[in-house]
Parts: sequence; C-alpha cells; structure tokens
Amino acid sequence: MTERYLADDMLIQRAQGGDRGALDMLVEKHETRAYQYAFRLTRNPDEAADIVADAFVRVVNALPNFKGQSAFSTWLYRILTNCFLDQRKKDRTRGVVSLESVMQTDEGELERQVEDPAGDVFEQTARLERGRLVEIAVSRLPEYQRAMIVMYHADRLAYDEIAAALDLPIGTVKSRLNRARLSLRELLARDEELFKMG
Amino acid sequence: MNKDKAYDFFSAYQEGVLDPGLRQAFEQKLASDPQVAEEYRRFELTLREVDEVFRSPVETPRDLHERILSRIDRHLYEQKRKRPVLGLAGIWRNLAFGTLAAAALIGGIYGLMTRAGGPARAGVVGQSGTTSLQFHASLSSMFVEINAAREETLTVRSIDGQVLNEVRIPAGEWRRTPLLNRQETAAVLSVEIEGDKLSHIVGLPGRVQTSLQTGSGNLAEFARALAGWYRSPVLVEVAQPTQPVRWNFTQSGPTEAASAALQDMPFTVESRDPNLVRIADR
Repeated sequence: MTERYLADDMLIQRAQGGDRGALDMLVEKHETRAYQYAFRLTRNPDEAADIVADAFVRVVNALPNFKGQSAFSTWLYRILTNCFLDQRKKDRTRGVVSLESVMQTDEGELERQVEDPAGDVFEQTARLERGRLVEIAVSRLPEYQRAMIVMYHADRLAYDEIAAALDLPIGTVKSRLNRARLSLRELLARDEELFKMG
Repeated sequence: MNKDKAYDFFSAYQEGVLDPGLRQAFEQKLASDPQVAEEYRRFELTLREVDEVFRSPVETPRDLHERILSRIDRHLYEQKRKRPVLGLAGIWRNLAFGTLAAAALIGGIYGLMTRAGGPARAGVVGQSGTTSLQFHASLSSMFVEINAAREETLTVRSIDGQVLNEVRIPAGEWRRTPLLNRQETAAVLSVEIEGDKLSHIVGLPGRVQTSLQTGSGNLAEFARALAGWYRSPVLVEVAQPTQPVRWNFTQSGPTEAASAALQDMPFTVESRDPNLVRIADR
C-alpha cells in the first residue's frame, strides 16, 4: 500500500455513495495483492486474472452492505477464496479435471497423482527444481488448505486474519494449517534426496 | 505423547508457541523417537522451502487494471439493461389527481437539477440509512434511481395516496424507474421508501402549459401548478406539505416564482441554474 491512496474506509464510503473514481482507486489499490494471491492458488495467469475480476464484481455488488466490521483486505481475501472455490466447483461440474485437483475417496482427499510433465528434472538446477516441486506440491493440496498455506506463507496473514477471511475459528485455522503443512511434507517426501542436495 | 499427538504439535513447536509442559513432552518425544525426529526435520525443511518459494515475486499482467474495470463496467451495464422499467406510463393516462392526502406526504427532497432542453442530469441525493435515492430530470420528465443498502420497498403514490407502483428491491441492488406524466396537465406524486421518514414530492409538467396562472392550495398543489405553468419538474422537501400557499406566476422562471410565493413562509427556495428549484424547510 502506498500513500498516494486514500484510506480504505474513505474510499469505501465514497464508493458506496456512487463515486466511481473511488471505486476505481480501491480496485487499483488492492488488485496487485489480489492477483498474487489468486495466481498462487491457481498458478495460471489467465485464471488468476479472471478470479480477481470476478472478485471485484462481487465487491461492487456487495459494497453497499459492507459495514467495515473486518478490514477491506480481509473481506477481499474471503471473496477471492470463494471465487477460486466456485471456479473449481464449476470446473468439476463441467467435467474439467485439473491436474492439480484432489480425488475424493472413502478415506478423504488424496492428491491426484499426475505424471510430472517435465521429463528433464535432473537437467535443471537443484534450487529451481526444489522451488518448482514445492509449488506443485502446494497446488496439489486440497483447495482450502492451499488457500491457508498461501495466506500464511505468501501473504503473511496472521491466524486471526485468516480466520476472518475464511470465517473459521482460529483454533480450526491452526489445526488445519498444521495438517496442510504435514500434507506438504508428505507430498515432498519422495523428493527427499533432491532436498538433501541443498 | 504418542506419534499422532506429536504431529499435531509440529506447527506450534516450530512457531515457539507450545506451552512449557507440552514443549517439554514434545522434546522428549523427539529425543526418544527417531522417526518423529526425522519427520519433524523434514517438516521444518518443508516450511523453509515454502517460505522461500513464496518470496519470489509474481509478475502482474500489465492489463490487469483495465481487465478488472472492463468486467465491472460490463457487469454494471448488464445489470442496468436487465432492470425492469416500471409501467407508470399507462397508468398515468387514467389517473385523476384529487386533493392531496396529507398522510401520504411527509418529508421530501434534497434537490433537483434540470437543464432546459438539455440532457438529463443527476439530481442531489436523499438518504435512507445508506440507501440512496437519486432524482434525475430533464425539462419535462424525471426518473428516480434507488441504490438499496438493505432490502427496500419503493412506493410511488398519486396525489390522493393511491399506490401507482410498488417495487421490492433486494439488498445491494439498483433500480431505476421513470416518473412520467403523459397527461395534458401537470401532475404531482410522492416517492417513498419503506421505513424512511422522508417522502419525496415531485411535480411534473404535462404536455401543455397549465392555464391557471394564479391559484392557492397546499405545497403539493403548488408544486403541480409551478411545474404546469413553467413546464419544468419540481421537487419539494417539507415537513408540513399541507400548509396553504397562494401564487401568481408573473415571474420569468420557476425559481423566482417559488421564491415570491413562499417569501413569507418557513421555506427555502434554491436554484443552481435557471431551471433548478429546491423547496425545503428553513
């Protein structure tokens, strides 16, 4: 956030009164962070931009009812997460299978085992490869866990902010985030040898 | 502490927020169980890697802002296009406007802007909580826009209190309805929002100029006469619209005429351009 912008509450108040300039400024102020979050969830630039645009349309619709009980950025995280989840649900309904999606089994969610499209793993540097594998592992997490991991580790949100954004108790956020990290560890376990190279 | 319990504490231990007792038990487990210790080592490594991966910047598309705004614009356009237009026009033809029903007219108007012969311009806004009402006017007609902060009912009444139209507007929605008078003579009506103490009184000219240059009546009737003689929409905000008024329209414009007629009464008449009239309590 830079000082060239007015405070969120001021922009929101003006936008609620029909000031289109204030709305545009609110968008400009938050769009980069919103895109980064969406991109880290989807790893697809087009899909991320679509999610962000959808989210801001929802903001426009719901802005008259926004009472400022949470920070605008927290509210936006919630809307972005819902847009992302809705998009994935739509994809599933249409029969689109994401390579990053999870499979539902009787025992819960399992990551879909997808053959690594890059066949030249060992020709790349270990450092880049580790990063890529971590990104793939994150993308294979169940969607809600992925959102939590990105909020905490990428966007540095505090537990209470994540709780507000996902409308969950803090204790639930903590335990689910721990499970998400354990899942990541499991997903990366098979690449242990590569990690040791670092 | 068993293995599963130890796994539950990985994050809390790594963040240093475990209670002293639990921390001691967890460390004992790490010391006594090589498998848990190895799992925890890999867990810490994973978190470091995740943090490192997320430190790398994400390049934002250059057209992101335009893309978002164009989606918003398209959405707003679609929303406007789909909105039903209230069918007041047909109703107008058969309306007979009688004496003002005082109970139907409480409160009023913040303002009105109109430009003779020019395009419609946005009017000043009335408020009901954070719900906004906007009156737009051209030379001879008006429409009202409502941006509902919560679920609202917009009611349009004739001068005798008859409901001409009633629209339920869901929270967060926007509606626009024309206030048209296709009669030959001028008319007056009120626009109300449920639960709002304000009532907006609108005088609309007819197709022809009213022949009654002089007259007397209450404020709503005055608004109708003013609109009819000068052929310009009028908007009124007063607490007591039943107060008697006498008028003789010899002035050059509606604002001057309203000022003359109301000069000894507790009302203000404002004008922002030659055809803008605002009548309100002093």
